[in-house]
Amino acid sequence: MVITTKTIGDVEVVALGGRIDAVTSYDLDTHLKQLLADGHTKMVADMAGVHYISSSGLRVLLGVYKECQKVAQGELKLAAVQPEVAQILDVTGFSKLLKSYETVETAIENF
Amino acid sequence: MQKQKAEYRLRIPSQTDNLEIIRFFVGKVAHKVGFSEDDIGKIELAVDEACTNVMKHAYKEDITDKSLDVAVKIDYQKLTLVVTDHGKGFDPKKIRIPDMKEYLAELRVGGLGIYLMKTLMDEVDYDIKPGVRNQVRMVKYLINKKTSDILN
Repeated sequence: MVITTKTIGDVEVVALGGRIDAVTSYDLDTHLKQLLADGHTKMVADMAGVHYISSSGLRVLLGVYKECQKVAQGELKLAAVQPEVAQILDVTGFSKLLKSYETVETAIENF
Repeated sequence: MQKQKAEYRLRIPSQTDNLEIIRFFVGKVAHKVGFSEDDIGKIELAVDEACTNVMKHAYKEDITDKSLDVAVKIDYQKLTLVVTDHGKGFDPKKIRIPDMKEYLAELRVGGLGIYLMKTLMDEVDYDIKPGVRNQVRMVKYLINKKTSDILN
């Protein structure tokens, strides 16, 4: 999977590409936890390039979301979630927890 | 839509980097049978979760010479997935489907993969013989189950 990060203001935007399964979720977890270790708690995961996510990926997102929430104003938001992934977020209830926006720009505006 | 009965089998080393091959194999059969892209996605995710459980729990990530079998059976109105391993097994009676509200609040851990399997497939059951042969069987109907029962 491809993971690229850019900083917009005080928000880390993490663009993801590929499938998030038991293998690739390890890389995602490592990447996001490094951002947390560096003190970043405002994050947007740009999901435009993700068409598949398994429970391994969901657990990573949930763990990072909860770490971000520990800090005032901190949050992990999602942007450009594709229909296949949105369906999984809906059936698991994750969509009620993780806020999702149509674009990265809208997600950033809502911090 | 394929009308006749058929069975496709894959024996593959129990390594998570083979999950993509397993999903591809199962997805191709589901496509051939005539499932919608939406249902194919659900079937691929269900088999991914079942196989990940085997790789991480049944074999406890001891992958030396370990393999698992994935069978896809086509029987008129339904697709049956059977994942077989020879690992330590578990007691199916102790499986609890997580309450997602509690799960998300982190009052409970684990069970998310099984929750997805149960939610995405029409039937899920287990045949566990620890150390001998463990199977998880999952069914997806091409049409809804009620109509299928009437037709049969």
